[in-house]
Amino acid sequence: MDASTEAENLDQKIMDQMELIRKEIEESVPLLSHKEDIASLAKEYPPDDAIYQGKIRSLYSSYRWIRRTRRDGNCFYRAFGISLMEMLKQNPDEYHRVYKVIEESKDRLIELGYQAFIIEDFHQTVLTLLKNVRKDDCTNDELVEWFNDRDLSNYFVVYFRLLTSAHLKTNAEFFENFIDGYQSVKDFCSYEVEPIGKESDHIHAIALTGFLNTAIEIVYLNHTDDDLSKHRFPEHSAPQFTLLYRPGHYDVLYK
Amino acid sequence: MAGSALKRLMAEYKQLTLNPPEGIVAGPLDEENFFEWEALICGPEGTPFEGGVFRTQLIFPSDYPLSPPKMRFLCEIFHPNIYPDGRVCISILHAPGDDPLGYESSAERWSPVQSVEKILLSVVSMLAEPNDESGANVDASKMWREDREEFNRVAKDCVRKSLGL
Repeated sequence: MDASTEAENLDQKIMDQMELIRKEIEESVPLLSHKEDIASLAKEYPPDDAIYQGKIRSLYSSYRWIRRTRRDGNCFYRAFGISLMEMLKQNPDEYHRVYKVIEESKDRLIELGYQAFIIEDFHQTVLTLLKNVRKDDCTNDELVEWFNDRDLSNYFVVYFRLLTSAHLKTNAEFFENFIDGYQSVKDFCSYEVEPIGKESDHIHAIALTGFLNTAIEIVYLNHTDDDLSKHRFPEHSAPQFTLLYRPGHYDVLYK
Repeated sequence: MAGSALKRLMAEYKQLTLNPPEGIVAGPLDEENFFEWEALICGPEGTPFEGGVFRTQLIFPSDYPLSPPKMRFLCEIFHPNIYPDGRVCISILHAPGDDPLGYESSAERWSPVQSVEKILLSVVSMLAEPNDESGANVDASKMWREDREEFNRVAKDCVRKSLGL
């Protein structure tokens, strides 16, 4: 066996292994769960871990429910997506405002150099979802079901990734200061934002809320020796919904 | 989501037919099966592959464009970034993270807003400028680095064979 065939076989084995792990995760957890009692969080950490258990107790005082998302790298967008739709269903003024932003976003993406025929299907998927949200008989369960349809859900994720990119690119001069390791905002977007499955960070949350002009709160649950920290995007805004962040992962929190 | 994939592939085919990039012809072999394409790529001018017309194959997954297609040269080609069996090894055919060969972080990656056209254009630049960091064909990488004259001669041989000479 020559060296290149050997290397090639190893590559293939690594890729097969990764695919297997991905599938196992996929089959064990839905893309979005139904609301669960927030007490279920405590069971994920050792009972004698004073830091986690203490922070989870202080979560109880403000939140009652958690909606979990699959750890597939797209959790931020799905957590954000379901929360946004649930909020819009309750709030007609915001609904009309956000609908207009999304409807017009396609032209903004085209101005930024994306090809119309390439982004069309993703845009349409999100508009169809928004139209469903407006229907009187649309229930939260139906929304959850929609986000658990892998294809629709992934098309939604693709489009919201593009909106995140659009805000970063439109404000490239500002965001250039926060993209360590990349030569340009464009490179950052094509590597860290647009590919499906790439995890999101602070900068993604700032960009997506910036594009949609929505306000969210992210509660950080991590193993640091301080109080539960809460961050608002944008700062000092009145949040429209809340996400829970644990290192590498986002879920949804409800009062 | 084969329906969405088909719709997107038809749109891309139409676009490539209306505005074909220079030196590239691509489309489904059989209009009954849009998930298997053939593309003819002209070797870029001013490179050892100039004058060749290389036959390649693209196989699209049912969840395209969420996942990238696979691409293979169907004719003999000796190049650092093409496996001896013809499979093409460039970053745009992989999502970030799915890259056991360790591409540079700034290299173009697969995402659903890439396209067949962008892949083929990347392959043209790969023919012009091999990346000797990712050695899909170790012998070709070594020759490219150490004996450019011999590399050019072997490449010219591939050009003649691609034309059936």
